[in-house]
Amino acid sequence: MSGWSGQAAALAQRVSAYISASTQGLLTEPFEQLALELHRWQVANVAVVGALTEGPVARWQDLPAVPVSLFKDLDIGPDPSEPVAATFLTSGTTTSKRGVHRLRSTALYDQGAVAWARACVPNLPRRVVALLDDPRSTPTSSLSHMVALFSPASRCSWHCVDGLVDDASLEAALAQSDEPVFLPTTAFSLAFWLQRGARPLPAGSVVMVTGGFKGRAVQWEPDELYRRITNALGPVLVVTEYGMTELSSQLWGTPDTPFRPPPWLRALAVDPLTGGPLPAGERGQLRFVDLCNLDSTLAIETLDQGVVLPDGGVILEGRLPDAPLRGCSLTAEEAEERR
Amino acid sequence: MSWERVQDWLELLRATDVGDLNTGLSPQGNRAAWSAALDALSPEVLVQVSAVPGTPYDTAAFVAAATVFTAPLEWLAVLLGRGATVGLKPPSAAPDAAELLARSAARVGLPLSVVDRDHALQHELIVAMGGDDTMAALRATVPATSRLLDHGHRFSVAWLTELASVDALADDVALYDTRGCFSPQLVLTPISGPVVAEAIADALCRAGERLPVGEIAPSEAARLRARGALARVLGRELRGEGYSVHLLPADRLRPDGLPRSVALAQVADFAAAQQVLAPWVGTISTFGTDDASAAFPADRTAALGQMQRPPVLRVHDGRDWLRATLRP
Repeated sequence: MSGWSGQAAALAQRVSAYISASTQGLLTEPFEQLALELHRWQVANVAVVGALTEGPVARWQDLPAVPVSLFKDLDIGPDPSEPVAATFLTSGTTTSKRGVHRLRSTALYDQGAVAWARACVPNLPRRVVALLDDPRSTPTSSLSHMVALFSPASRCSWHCVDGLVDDASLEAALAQSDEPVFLPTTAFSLAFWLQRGARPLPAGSVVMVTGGFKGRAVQWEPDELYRRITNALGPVLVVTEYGMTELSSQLWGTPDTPFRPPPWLRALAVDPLTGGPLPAGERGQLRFVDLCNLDSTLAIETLDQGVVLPDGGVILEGRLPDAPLRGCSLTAEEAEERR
Repeated sequence: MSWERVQDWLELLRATDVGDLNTGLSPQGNRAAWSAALDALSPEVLVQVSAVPGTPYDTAAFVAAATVFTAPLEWLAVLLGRGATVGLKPPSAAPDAAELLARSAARVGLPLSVVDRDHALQHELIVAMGGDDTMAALRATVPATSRLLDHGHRFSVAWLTELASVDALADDVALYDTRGCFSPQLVLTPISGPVVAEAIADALCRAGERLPVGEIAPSEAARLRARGALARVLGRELRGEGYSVHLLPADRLRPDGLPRSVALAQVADFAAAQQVLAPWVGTISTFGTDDASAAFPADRTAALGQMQRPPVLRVHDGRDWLRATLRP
């Protein structure tokens, strides 16, 4: 795996093998064993993880988690002077500071993203009509990067520019297509499109919705959003995706089912006051341990609130009460406001 | 006549135990904040206020923020003393204090009532406090016939030059749990950062014994731990029961109102401190200091320990509020 060398390359190989095996229901080694070895490597090689680690860690639940806000404040992972394969930025305005996630290699990201998307949405149409920015013009978008992995470039079209839905190109792309499409979108871009008069999609199409409304101008409850999707787009399959710039893996769900994490990512709800893990089923601040986050930090602490079920599934309840607004949908909304 | 009733009203309020009010502060915190606010409204001060010349408004409304439950007190006292009929729009999440104020005012015959937002907009003078979004929304909807005095987001800073001042600073931090615009969120010092951090942490611990911390929202708790993590990486974090001190490099200081938490940085001298604070000039409410020679362009300068105890006769957010609440 290019981009990594020495021990990191060996660890990356083990994670890759874990992904391959686990998607077939097999196990190359225990999750915790691999997580703790990756963590020990990060303690020695990622200064922030080293600084936040107070002693030996014996359980994956006790891995020190880096708050997502620190991705704005600190270089977590490769030094900015080091060449990297990808630099992903969090959503934000031109004036606000954005979180940075640098990856020496996207190999694990790519392998995991494709494997889990195929596992969760087996009949993902190959024709992609994305209400997202083109990753060639916006290589800092991890969401666009992920979607581009799902089909050859010749089968993908992109219909946002700087977060703004391009109605004309979208209309043209859909007019030309009578085969099922995969339409990935942020909740906000989808809402804008629906408000402007979306056309029905071909039967068998799949709509992937990610992000929320973050308490901004458009305020649709999930039920209303999904009702509007069905009314406007026809009998499409709607799937939900939960991902973050700071993570290398994603969770997938549907409007009616919790998010499912891949076997190489585990979720944990913690008490926001103490950071202590909560029992399964209790509401808390969401934390993730992602084996694919080799270059930065395995454990991430979000500002989201949710419930982690005994089977590992995650019910997302939105932001922790009163948390600052931030997220994928902001870029689209802010762009709309500038219109 | 009205000023006498205001005196009676304030006496009633002084005799009221507000420990159980739903404000987010601890019962002891409620009582301490209540006393501090009422202490400022002494009979002598009211005499001085009543002597400010001008024509009062007949009707006025006060739109209260959720952060400082005592903030309406002085404004209501002045407006009612001048004879206005006053509507008080409470924060939707914490209406208790407003209802208490209105009930007690009614007992002494003062025309103070709790109103909703639409009703508040019907008054001639509207004084409003709250977040910038709330203020922007109000500005867009206030009728042209009304006068709006809006007070948006502000924060305060402290310049601490002597270790002996830490208890006074801790009092400013503990009173209102860093909720209001007079609360010092950032502290700069020319003394050894680790030494000052330890001293402030000890002082906050002592303050917490008198004034236990109130509620901490989940998002605040998360932000507290996030800034603590940043401090552990770049400086030092000291925390105890309900308080924390985050020692950070000066260029990493950011104002963030976190409960009982101080962001501290060591700088070479006052000139360096001014440089650090320069980006926020215009949004700094109170500059607290134990250095009488330090001058900073904040709305107000106060001795440490007095940041949360503003005199009634003052400039508020750069505005002579006693005159601004009279007809032009």
